[in-house]
Amino acid sequence: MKKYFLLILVALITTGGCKKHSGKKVVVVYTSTDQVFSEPVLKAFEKKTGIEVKMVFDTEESKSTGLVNRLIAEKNSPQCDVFWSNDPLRVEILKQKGILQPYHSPSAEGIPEKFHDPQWYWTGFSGRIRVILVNTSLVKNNYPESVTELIDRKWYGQFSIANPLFGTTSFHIASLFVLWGDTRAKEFLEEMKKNGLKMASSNGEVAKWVAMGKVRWGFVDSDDAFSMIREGYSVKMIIPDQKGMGTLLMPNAVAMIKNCPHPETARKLIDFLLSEEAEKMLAYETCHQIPLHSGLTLPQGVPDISKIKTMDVSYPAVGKKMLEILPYLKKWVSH
Amino acid sequence: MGFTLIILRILIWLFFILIFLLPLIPLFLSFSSSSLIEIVREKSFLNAFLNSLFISTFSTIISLILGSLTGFLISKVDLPGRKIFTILLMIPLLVVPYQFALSWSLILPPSLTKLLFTKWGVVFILAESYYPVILLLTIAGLNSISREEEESALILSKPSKIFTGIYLRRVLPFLIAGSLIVFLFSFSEVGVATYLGVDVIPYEILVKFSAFYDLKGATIYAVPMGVMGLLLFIFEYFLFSKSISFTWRGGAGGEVVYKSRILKYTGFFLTTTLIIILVIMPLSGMIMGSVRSENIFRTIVTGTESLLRSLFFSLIAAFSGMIWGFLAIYLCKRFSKSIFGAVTLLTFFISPPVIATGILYSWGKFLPFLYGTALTLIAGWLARFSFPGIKILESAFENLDRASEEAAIIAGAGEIRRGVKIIFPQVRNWFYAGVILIFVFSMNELSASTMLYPPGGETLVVRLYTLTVNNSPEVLSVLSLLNLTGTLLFSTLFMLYGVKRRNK
Repeated sequence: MKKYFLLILVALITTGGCKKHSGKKVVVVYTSTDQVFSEPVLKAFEKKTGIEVKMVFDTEESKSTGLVNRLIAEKNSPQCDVFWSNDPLRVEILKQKGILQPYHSPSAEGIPEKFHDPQWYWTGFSGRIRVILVNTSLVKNNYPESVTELIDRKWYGQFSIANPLFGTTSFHIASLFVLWGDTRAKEFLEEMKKNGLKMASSNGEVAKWVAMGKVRWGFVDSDDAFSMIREGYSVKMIIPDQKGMGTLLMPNAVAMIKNCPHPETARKLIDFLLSEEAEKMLAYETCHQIPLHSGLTLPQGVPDISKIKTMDVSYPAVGKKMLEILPYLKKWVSH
Repeated sequence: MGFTLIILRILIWLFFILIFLLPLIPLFLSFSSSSLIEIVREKSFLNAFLNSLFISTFSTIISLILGSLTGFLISKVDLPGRKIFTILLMIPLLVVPYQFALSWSLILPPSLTKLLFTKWGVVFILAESYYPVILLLTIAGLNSISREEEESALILSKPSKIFTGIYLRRVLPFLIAGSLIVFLFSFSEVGVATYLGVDVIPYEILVKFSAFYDLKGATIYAVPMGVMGLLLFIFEYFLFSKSISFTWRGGAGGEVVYKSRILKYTGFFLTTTLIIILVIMPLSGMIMGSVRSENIFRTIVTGTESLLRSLFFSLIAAFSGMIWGFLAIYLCKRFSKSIFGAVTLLTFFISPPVIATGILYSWGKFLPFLYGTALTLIAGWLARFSFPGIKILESAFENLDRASEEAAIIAGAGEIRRGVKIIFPQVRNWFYAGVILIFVFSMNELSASTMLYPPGGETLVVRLYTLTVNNSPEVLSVLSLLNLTGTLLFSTLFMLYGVKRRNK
């Protein structure tokens, strides 16, 4: 019996446990973009370059691991080379804590200025936008078209947003604070609550509630809306505020870690992620992310960046505001 | 004292410092009593704390009812196919609770799904996952009653008197120890509550990390949980732990078994019904989901690498934890043992994300050459699960036959030789029981693993969790079944190995 145990152990060691790298080039990436979307892109890079990609994933929706915390904890002995964030706020926090180093990638050409850090500590690519998802069986016409409809009494108790303490909803609310100022934004939030807001735990839950008819409409990210459309529910995606302030675009952001163990391969991975090829892959995946390079051939229903009116906000300012308003939002959520 | 013994003692202390003590340092440094008072006044904290208390209390009560009932039926009633029933009833312990939640949400009709996504839903899933702990301890408690004592009582007393005077009296300490373990596991479990949308303390701790990047806040949120756990265990230790003694009788063969027809048929009906509800239904949900999956083979292939990694890392954790436990109990003095006991108990109680953060900070700072390897993850599991494994071993040490050791001392055998040749064979069964326990818990650990796994070294449970978002439930069912199969296969191999050694 002992022999069999030894055999099993040896088999485990050789097959999965301790992979030998035998001088193979390696890059370590931490990503908060959902694994189901990020893994194929990273595998494509691996296939194209022969560089082995070691990945650590996070799940934004379940707020589970907090890769940012891990990167902060690892500041003095960095393990990670590249951080691929699903929004630019996390990289902004890391920049402020001195965890990133600048890298101006040649692939970043063509990416609009507002989607990268002025000193190239991070660069944005493929993004999602905030959209309104409407249940077309319950709302036949006169669809909501603006964020301000969240406080319109005609929708009393019939709409939903996700908990603004987390993810892209916190990003969205912080952007409104930056655009409108604290007083107007706080009044807006109080009015929204009085208007019978149904708060969900995540954008995915908002999308499900709309699709199932629990609410008539709600604010979600474009990937959540595409997901419900693909599953065949009677829903419609509306890009809000196209006649006014525009909608919030949340690009992915990629950054290089200061004193990272594999700087050469890190630069190659960043170049790949910022390339039109990677952006196209993310556009054709089921999340249908919107490329920041304009003029690419896109799948049906995915708008070109040049055709969307986006909110004119500075991401560093939104990041700063978000940390500032978190205590207020925490109180707002729990009362 | 020989040179080898000195080296061994140094290694025992080194292991203890690296695995158990070092992760606690950043947590103690970030603690402040004024912040504790501020936080316990927060409405969100109170709400989460009450929810956690509600969930752990009721899941413990339900586990207690299910586990003790099935344990009694299996040990004391002449049920047909008792061994198969025992194996089937133990399966939930090998499944990640979160997988059960996923499976039930797939098979329940919409009207009942609403009920699942409530506090009672969390209670049901956790009770379903943890009742085998009580079942195991009930069997162990009933096994500890001597056949002679039981037979004498049967001649002299009424059945009701035997139940209260012998069974309940002897099994009670085991039930209380089991209830405490279930209570603490339910209190620190985060996957089920998060999936079912119920706010609990471990979730609030994660929020502190993920939304506020606040280690201090997270540590303070974990304090009431640690204090409560510690108090409960002190209560259990002084009142009951001395009355727990494990004996290995080789299954139910050596016990008194009741051959009443009413008990037999009622017991059979009850056990079968419970197996259908608690085991077959959720497993069939996973199997149905897997069969529906279009990419079943691709998912298995991609998941197998993670499974092999889980198995390998869990085996290392299980063996190193128990070897350390054996050496620490055998070679160290009472003073060291009590320090080891208290600290391993503390790391067992403290919320997994808090311990994981402690490891991230301390290993990153003091052990940069080990940080980022699989050892970081294994350290997290050891800090979490060594305590229950070692507790079993300690109990076995209390029942040692000292005569043969004394004879070996007279014959001039050294301490190491006595440990290997005389002591270890006597506690071997409990050593392997502890190995299985740590192995199974490590295979299914999620909260600390998500924070500690090395780059490119995700375990299967982590893969399952990070793939949850925006993925089809069918893919997740395939991965859940894969994890269950791996855990079941290896646990069975260990048990067979244990039985074979015992028969020798």
